[in-house]
Amino acid sequence: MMIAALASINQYTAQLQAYEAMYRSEFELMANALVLEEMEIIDLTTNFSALGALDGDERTRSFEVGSGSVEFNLAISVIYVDETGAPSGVATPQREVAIAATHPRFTTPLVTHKRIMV
Amino acid sequence: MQLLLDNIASVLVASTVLLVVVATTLNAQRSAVEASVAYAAKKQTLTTADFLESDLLLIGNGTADTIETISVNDSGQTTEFSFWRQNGTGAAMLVSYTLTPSTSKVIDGQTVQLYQLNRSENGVPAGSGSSTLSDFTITMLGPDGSLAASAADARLLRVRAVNVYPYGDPDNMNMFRSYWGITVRPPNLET
Repeated sequence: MMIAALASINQYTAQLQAYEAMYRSEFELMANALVLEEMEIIDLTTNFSALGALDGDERTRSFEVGSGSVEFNLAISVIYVDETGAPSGVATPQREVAIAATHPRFTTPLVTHKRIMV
Repeated sequence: MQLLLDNIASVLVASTVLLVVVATTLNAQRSAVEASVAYAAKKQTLTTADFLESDLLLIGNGTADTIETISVNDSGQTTEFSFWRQNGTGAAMLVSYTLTPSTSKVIDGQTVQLYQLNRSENGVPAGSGSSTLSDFTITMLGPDGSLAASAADARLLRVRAVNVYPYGDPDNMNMFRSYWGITVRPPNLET
């Protein structure tokens, strides 16, 4: 009786984890689309000297399709990097812009994208 | 009397254990089917998405024109999106994506219209994507992410799609939705 109950609980837990992983992968795809779009917009609209002002910026963006909408939080960080892409403590001619997407349902960032901008 | 009670008790315990084991097994099987359905839906969505993304990046590649047509139906779906690009021999080719209603399913008492995405080159069918899309939109955006009024103002293309996979008992269907989206920046829209 005990073994049957344990097997049942184990199965139920595994099922919940599988559902959670499926949900997370859907949210990751949505967040990915928003982060890439934000990166393109920053690249198109922000010149090099103005990039620094974006460091630490947080904004919300919604993935909208059909009648549904899911809101994500985007956190932007901007650092100087050297010619190898390694973080630099001094000003260099290139900066790395990183955007991380989070959602209140998940404790860790869903996706993070980085791009070097000159 | 004691023997009889012992037998009844053992049968009850055995039946309960058997019931729990059967329920657990059925649950495991259902869970495995759902995971397989989700995987299949995701894989098909991503295969279509990969192709679409690389195709859209070639808008205006080697041609003087870029976006030709973008049509939207009453429910906001992009029913036609066509653009010019070079073909393998260097000639200009009109690539069209058209969204046509395929079937509708009643899921959880709600009718869901499904669409098929077809691709053609110069009017000749050249591949088709998923036939289980419930939503598909391509939106032209300006450089700041606002809606572009015309193709001449467009710098970005935002694509959103939802692939629906019904599964389960036909009388009690469940639905798995696979979401996908991307924003591409075709180099030839930046002239």
